[in-house]
Amino acid sequence: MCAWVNERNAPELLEYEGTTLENLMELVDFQNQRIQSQPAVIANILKMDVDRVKYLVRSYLRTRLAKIEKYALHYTREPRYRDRLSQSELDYAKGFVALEEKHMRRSFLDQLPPHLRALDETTTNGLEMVPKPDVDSAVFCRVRTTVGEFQFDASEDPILMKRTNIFITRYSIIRDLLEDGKVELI
Amino acid sequence: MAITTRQQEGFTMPELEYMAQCEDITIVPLHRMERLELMRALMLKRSNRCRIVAPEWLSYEHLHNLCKREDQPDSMFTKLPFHYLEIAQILLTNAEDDLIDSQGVRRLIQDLREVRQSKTREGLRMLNPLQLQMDNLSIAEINEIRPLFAHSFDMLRRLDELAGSSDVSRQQSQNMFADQSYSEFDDTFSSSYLNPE
Repeated sequence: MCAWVNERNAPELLEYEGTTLENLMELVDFQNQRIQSQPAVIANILKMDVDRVKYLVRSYLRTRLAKIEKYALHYTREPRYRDRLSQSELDYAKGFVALEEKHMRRSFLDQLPPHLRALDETTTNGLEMVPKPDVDSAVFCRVRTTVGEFQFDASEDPILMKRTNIFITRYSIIRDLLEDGKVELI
Repeated sequence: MAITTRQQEGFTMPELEYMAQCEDITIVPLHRMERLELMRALMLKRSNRCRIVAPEWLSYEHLHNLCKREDQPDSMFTKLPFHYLEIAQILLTNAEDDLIDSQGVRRLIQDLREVRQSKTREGLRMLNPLQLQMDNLSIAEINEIRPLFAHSFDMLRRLDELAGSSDVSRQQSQNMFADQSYSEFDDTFSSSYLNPE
């Protein structure tokens, strides 16, 4: 559940929770088998659990897909993000990039002079064509385990971060805390 | 599109209720169990197998006190369960007969929500491009202000970056905030109810 909420709120793609997902799906299979042999009341309760888990898994994967579609080129190029994709997500992302490129070429790029055809140029003043997630964008986070004094910015006084405190801040500032599980996004 | 635009901006109310249903609740059982997750309680309730005991905070008296405390000038947000709005909503819809004075409770929840809403709106004035502490806000309230706050936060950040990138634009942006300057924002924010310590 926490992984789902974090993934929904983080601007960039997070680590893929492969093992957790596998365990969940195994549990779903197991419970599905059990349901048949149970009396109606218990079967209903089990069925609800199974449905809730299925919803969670589905929404989690779809959230990731939405992000992958948005920044497909960036995610397939950067090794850091590549490692976060599951095999099927990586295949999907590559296919998406190829399709997009083919579409661009067919519809107008092939009519342009060759030196204007690239999709991934960097201009002389550092502007890039490849869209990237904005890791400085605003997120709401809640402290899970007391962090203590935390420096939000080098020029500011540190602020005490205690359990259950809630902050709105830049994603990049609390990214390490999120990876350590010390804060959760909400 | 893999998920809807609304979902990309935050959570939908049904999704919040989905999360809230993992919270524990007390029931009067006709069987053996006594304390279990809200989703199971609701299931038993629907098949008339239990009566749900309203949480302590969801009583007329308790909410009345909370409302009074919340309404005091310069008070911080009072402590409520993280999913209080959803739980109240779920119980008022599905287990109204188990609540004492459900009409009164419904009204007080509404009042409480409005007082807190106007407080959060005040809080927007204290927003700065670095961080703002907003303890005790519930997830439904955060979800409600998310688009506005996140967007304002990002705009402030961009203005700040522009201000930092050249002196000319720094002067311009200071002029823009001349009557309510940044420094004033920072001062009020540290002594504010949103940030009690």
